[in-house]
Amino acid sequence: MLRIPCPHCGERDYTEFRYAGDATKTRPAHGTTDARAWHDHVFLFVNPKGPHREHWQHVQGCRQWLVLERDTGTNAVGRSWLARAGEPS
Amino acid sequence: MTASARLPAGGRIDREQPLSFVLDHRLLTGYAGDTLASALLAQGIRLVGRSFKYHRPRGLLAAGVEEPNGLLTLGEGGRRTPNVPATVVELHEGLFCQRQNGWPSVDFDLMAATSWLAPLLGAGFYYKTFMGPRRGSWMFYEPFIRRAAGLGRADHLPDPDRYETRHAFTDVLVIGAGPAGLAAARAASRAGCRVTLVEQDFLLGGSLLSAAIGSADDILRATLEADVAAMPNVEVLRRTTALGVYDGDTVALVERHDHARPDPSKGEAREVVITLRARAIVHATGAIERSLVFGDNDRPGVMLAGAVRTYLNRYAVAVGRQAVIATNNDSAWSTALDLAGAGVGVTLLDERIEAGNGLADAARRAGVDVRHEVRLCRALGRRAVQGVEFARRGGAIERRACDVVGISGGWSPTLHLTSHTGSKPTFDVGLDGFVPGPFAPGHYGAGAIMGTRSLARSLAEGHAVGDAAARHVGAAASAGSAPAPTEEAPTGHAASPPDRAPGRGKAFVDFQNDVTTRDIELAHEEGYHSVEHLKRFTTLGMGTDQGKTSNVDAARHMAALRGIDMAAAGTTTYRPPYTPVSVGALAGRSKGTHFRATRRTPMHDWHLMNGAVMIEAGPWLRPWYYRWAGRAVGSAYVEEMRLVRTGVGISDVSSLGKIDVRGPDAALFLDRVYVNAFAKLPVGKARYGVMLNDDATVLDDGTTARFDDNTFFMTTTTAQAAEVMSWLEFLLQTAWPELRVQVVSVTDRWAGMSVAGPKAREAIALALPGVDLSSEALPYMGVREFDLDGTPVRILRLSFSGELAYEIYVPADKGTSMWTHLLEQAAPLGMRPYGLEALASLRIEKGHVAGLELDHRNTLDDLGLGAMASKSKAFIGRELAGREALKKPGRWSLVGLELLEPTAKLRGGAILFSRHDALEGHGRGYITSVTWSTEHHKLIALALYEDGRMHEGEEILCAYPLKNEIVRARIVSPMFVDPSGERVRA
Amino acid sequence: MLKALSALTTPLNGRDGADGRRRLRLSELRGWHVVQLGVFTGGHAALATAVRTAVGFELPVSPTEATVLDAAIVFRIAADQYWVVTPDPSLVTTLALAVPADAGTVTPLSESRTRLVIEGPDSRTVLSRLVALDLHPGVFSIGHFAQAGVHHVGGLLYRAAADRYEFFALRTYAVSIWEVLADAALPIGYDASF
Repeated sequence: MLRIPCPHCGERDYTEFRYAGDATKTRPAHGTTDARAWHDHVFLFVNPKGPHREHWQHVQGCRQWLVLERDTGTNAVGRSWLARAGEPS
Repeated sequence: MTASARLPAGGRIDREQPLSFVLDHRLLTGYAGDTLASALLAQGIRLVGRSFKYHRPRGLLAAGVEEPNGLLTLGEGGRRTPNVPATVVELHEGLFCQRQNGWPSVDFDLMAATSWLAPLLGAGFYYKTFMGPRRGSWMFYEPFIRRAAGLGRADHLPDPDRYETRHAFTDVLVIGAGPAGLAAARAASRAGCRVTLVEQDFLLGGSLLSAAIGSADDILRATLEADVAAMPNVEVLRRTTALGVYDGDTVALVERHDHARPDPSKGEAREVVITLRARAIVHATGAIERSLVFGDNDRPGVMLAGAVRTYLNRYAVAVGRQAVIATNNDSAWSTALDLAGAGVGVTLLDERIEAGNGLADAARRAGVDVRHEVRLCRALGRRAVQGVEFARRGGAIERRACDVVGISGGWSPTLHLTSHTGSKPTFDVGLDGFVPGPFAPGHYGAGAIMGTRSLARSLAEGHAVGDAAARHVGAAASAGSAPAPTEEAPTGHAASPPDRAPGRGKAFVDFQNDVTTRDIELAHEEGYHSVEHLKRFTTLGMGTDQGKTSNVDAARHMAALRGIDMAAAGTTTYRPPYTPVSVGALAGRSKGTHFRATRRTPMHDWHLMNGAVMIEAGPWLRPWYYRWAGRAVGSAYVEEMRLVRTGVGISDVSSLGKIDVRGPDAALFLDRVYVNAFAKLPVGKARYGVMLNDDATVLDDGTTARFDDNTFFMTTTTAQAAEVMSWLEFLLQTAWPELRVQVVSVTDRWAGMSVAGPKAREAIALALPGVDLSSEALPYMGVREFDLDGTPVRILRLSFSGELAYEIYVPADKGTSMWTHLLEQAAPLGMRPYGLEALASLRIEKGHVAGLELDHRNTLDDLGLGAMASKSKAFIGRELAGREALKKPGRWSLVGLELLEPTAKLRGGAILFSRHDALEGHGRGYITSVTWSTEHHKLIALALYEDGRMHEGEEILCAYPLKNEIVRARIVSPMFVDPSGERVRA
Repeated sequence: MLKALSALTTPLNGRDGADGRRRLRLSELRGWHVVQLGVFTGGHAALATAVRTAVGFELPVSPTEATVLDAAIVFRIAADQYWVVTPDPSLVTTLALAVPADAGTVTPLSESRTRLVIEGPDSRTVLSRLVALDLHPGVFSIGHFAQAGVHHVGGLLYRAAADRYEFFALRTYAVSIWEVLADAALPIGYDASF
């Protein structure tokens, strides 16, 4: 049972969360007309084995979207922060 | 059967508490404190089963979870549980068990004739014989093979017992309550931690339980148990097995209550699966003794030496009167000494030149006949061992009569759980076994699992890791000093790895799956060299015991054949569960009505009391149809449709997703997420909107109403409500946090009901006389919120059915009251409720797309909604909607179908072909939804078809291979009802 | 004119435990209101001031500990969202009028939740069968709350007293949650009342 540190609620079972994948990319600004930029954002992923950042939402808890550091090779979980707040310095 | 083997005194059994149990319809007696295995042995029952392939007579090998032979079927009827090792069953009154795999009985087994076929039944036999070029031969032989080879039978009855699950948390989890585990739990608890100590046995003490009552080890055990029991911060879980260690240091435990004969009618659980999250884990799982490989080593009475000692000291059962103990290490000397002390004649055969300090002298003093540098060649006897042949290397064969053989091939650390964490076992030459690899942070090991055989060192290690684990979780207090034993039992290691002495007979490595040294040689000859290939070719280690006593011996044999060392040979991968677990325990209470939580609308009880037949729609329970309209859905929904097309009906739409979208930027936000414009939606109006995913496929549709400048009320489809909510939150929290918008799900706050039909306005006017429902005051797509004696009421004039219709929303607690009020007041108009089937059919007739059409592959154009996309603003999915592949001809798009054969059927999922196509492959599309049309008096359908509307008027074929049906249909407009929309605007 | 009904209108009769004990009491608390306050980016100070001025209390900082006042219990349910739970309907109106439109929102949710009360010496034991939270008294002390899944449905669990927990369940799931609670309580014995 992966345990995810929710920045608001604390550590919880991953079954309380919803997974939304890669959080390393920046979404093109709304209204960007460059189809290539959208193509790259929507379809191209690095899918690394090792340290990664992912979007998860604590759907059964505070419903906050967060960024989680997870090693995709070992499932080791690192830091997390609220997506809207940005990475803590 | 022989006479009772129970000693007159001793053991950890309660002779004041005799227990009756039934084996193969024979009434037997044991004592509280017995296992089923010890009770059988005490009764002189040696023969416990027939082997898997050859039906050879088998007896108990072990005294614990590693038992490969003594698998029995427990219980009757729905409680029947096959393949349970007798060694793990705590005896209780009324226990009912049967031996397995013998026909007509285990004692007299005709299937033993398969032994004559043995040359045919070697490794790979099934694959080669039945899976070869002659296809179908497996089908022919399978029933015979299944009957001949196999274990116990499961039943097909529902299990009447109750199973529970629970969540648990702890600072330090200690797995195993042997000396190391007890010392670790003692230390960690004294340092102030929350400690959970789990032990699969019903007693604490592990290896110490096998020491004689009153011995120094026994006293030590009692002291350690008392120390742990005195700590309020320790939770001790007996009869609890750690099945697996998972991510996040979560450990799955199963706690068994069979001994207490739980009563499900009182809510008592037979087994409880505990999901435990630990901050640190101490692995003190001990070690499992290995057997020796020699001819006919499976004869009943050949047992692990440690098990012989356990039966003697713990259960007061002398398994034989004349024992041969054969070993390559010191541990079996304790067995020899204890047996001799109990008056059993003992011959000790040690493969080594000499044993540990002073052992040989002590043994001789106790009257043991000690022989060094000899190996067992063969066991004699058939249904019970009657003697052994042994020899010096290269020397002449000697014989010795006996009725029990205790063997010890060394000890394998129980590193299953540490392996689950990803720690790869490494081979320890000194120990002649695999030990855990490096531990993950927060994981510790102590005692026999680390290869430690000395009691004093096990205690010291346990104490040290208990302390370290406590520090890992931040405990500050001191753990005090380690417990110490008063005397040291023999604990030496194997001086030399055992190898097989020459001797006739089958030499079994894996008893449960009947794998012999010859099978391993065969695997080698055929090129299945790696341990993983060896396992799959021979099925070695694939039984219910997972090769706990055999894996290392097998690897050793293969390593010898290949001329490599054990480290290079390695082990197979250990996976959970450590020991078998019942499916019932894993399911817990999540079965039947508790399989998952269900949602009920505010009018649920009214529906039940008023003739609704309910149906599950996702998590929701919704009225499917009402009995007023018919006794079966097929006729009832058509009747309900007619009511809506000709009069007025009311339907519960509370399950629609409802989201409050509020804030100064709410309009701007909606403009971004919907393909059509919302910024200029006037207050008091609603608009149908469609959302796309980023990749331009359609996500959902629904209606959003504006109640004031900053307040919007969005509805989504029932199916996509959770999806849409998460998506809006995702956008606001990750992409556009600067927008001043809050989205809140209000699905549960509002009860929704749709009043639809030509008489809908009249009906509502009767119920809400003060409300102006004229088209001027409330036009099509108009919305209104008003106060009804302190209750906020929302009316939205929109239509799913294609008729004049209104959706009325009131706070959920007033839902039933409003619903009954509407029905009562509109009764003169004949208003009645209609269910989900009619609701869905009405929308099919109107050509409204819904979940069945929205398959997450279609674009706006595919669904005929292309015109909705705004040309003047950006919206999510706009750029990728222009992708070449989405614009190419040949896409499957929405059409209507009408059936051309009045006696045939249209079916959802039917594959569509043009009349000239060969009827094969994926066709040109498929039917998404079908209904009877009350307007057209025929079956109609919505479908996705290649270049859809371009083929309007064309006759096509609908194939339904599951029923061998091919019917003709015509492609028509999907709008079967009122295409100009006059009715909804009436 | 319109009559309010609880979601729990199907009575589940009390059932005894193994030896006739009834160590758990299950009930529903009625006559209360909840509003959700949502704060826009940059709107926190204005909203906090408005709340302080209008109703006289501070918004809590802790995401795990409720602020218990005479008039209300306040939960910080997310970084930018709060729940005010109160028996006083006028407090709801006051808040709705007080919060500036460009600082945040006030969403009434009273009818959307069913407030289940789980009381008795074994309440923690029963809850541990349903919710993956560490309810050890040293961790989840009185006044603590958590939003978590019960039977995989999200809700808010609040420890109101030593042996009293309150669970704010989504109304449409309330019967199902009730049933699963009652089933989990079977071995302990419960007394259910409406």
